[in-house]
Amino acid sequence: MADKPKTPDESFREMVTDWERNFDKFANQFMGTETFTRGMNQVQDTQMVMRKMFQDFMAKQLEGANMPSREDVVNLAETVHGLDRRLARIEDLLAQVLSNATPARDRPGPPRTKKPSTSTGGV
Amino acid sequence: MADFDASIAAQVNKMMERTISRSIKGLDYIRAPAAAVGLTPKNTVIQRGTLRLYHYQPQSPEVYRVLVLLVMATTNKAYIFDLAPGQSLVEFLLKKGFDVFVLDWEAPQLHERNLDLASYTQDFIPSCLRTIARITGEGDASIIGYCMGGVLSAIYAASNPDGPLKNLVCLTTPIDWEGMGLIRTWQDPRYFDVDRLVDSVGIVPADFVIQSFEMQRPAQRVAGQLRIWEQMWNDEFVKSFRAFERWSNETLPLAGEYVRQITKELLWENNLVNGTLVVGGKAAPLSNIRIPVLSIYAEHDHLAPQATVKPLMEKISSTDKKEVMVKGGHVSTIAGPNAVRRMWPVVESWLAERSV
Repeated sequence: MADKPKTPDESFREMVTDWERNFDKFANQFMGTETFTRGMNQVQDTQMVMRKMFQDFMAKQLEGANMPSREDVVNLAETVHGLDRRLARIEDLLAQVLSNATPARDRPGPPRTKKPSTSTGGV
Repeated sequence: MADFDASIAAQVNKMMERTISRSIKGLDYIRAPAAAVGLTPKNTVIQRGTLRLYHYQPQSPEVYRVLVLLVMATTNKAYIFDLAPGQSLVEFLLKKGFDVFVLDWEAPQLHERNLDLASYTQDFIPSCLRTIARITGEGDASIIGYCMGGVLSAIYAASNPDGPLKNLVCLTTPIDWEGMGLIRTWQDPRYFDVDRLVDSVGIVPADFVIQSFEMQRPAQRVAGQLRIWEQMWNDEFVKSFRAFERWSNETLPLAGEYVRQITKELLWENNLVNGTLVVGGKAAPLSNIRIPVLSIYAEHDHLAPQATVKPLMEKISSTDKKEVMVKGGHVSTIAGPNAVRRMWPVVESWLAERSV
């Protein structure tokens, strides 16, 4: 028996899938070469160097204007973050002490008594 | 002959209808706001820097004793677990009687640039488990980790063999980084200076992360746009596509130290599979894992290929362990019609038996 002819929509979907597969395969062959890797990383390195130069330039300008640099703000944020972390640890310990005083049956929520149904066969 | 003519006429009619529908709905698609995601009711339990812990409201009159913590990959938002009603792993587990928590991530800020593997595996995960035990009064927990979330969970389990973890489910989790394909090629230590990158930026931008994902499938975005145009008449497809598109566009930046450590210790030195990984002063050999483990990998996963996932089963010491391959790719394994049919029931039935 002959196969059912494809609708235009089905043909389009198939064409897109084939194109995607072939393009990716071709591109991956090229992008998997050492030449590509070296070139890509060189471009990235150049971007990083330029970024660093710009950051240093901006830091000097801000220092000249007697204003805090991004680094200064980040250092301040790190200090606050450190305090936040310590506070969280203290809260954690406090909560542990308090929860030890509360029996599990007094906690809200459905009972933790569910059993698996016998039909759960899995794979 | 008359039947043939009728069939042609019906096809032409359908094509015309879809063409008109595409034009009308195409405008809606362009004008519509971002897809609504993560709608299952939840409470935020921890909100600390990049870390978020959510507790979902139970949807079953009784729940399993052992609760479930889903650990998201650090590169993306956890709403992939709760994409839309009917397309939500969280909702599925809640309805099956699990008490569900999700460990999610916000974009790390510059002052969090020093977060490393120890921060994630020796601080964040244990802290979440302690909080969960406090809230529920139940010490035993199962972890379901997705992709890097699975890696972090495996490292946690390996470095805390006496911890409260009862079961571990690793979804598309790369263990042997030798098989990482193009990522390994592009980050060849002869050409890729990770120290320069991290020291320059502090936080590795999301664009860099997106680029390294998308460059592995360079035609994917264009093909996606062609598919959405063709399926514009199909409301369900469009809804699902937009939710996935939003999710992939919201890729997160990464803490620099974390990237440095992953690159050097996992990608270059392959310490996780070699059993030589040390995090926060604790050894994390996979052979320390003795709890029941389920590993699920995708047949067509280009981000965590089979070769990178499969060694987990060989390296752990668990006697109760199972490996399942499902059809689909890295993301369609977790959410979407494939996941609903293939992956979720596997996880549910495996966990149910081990959660009493």
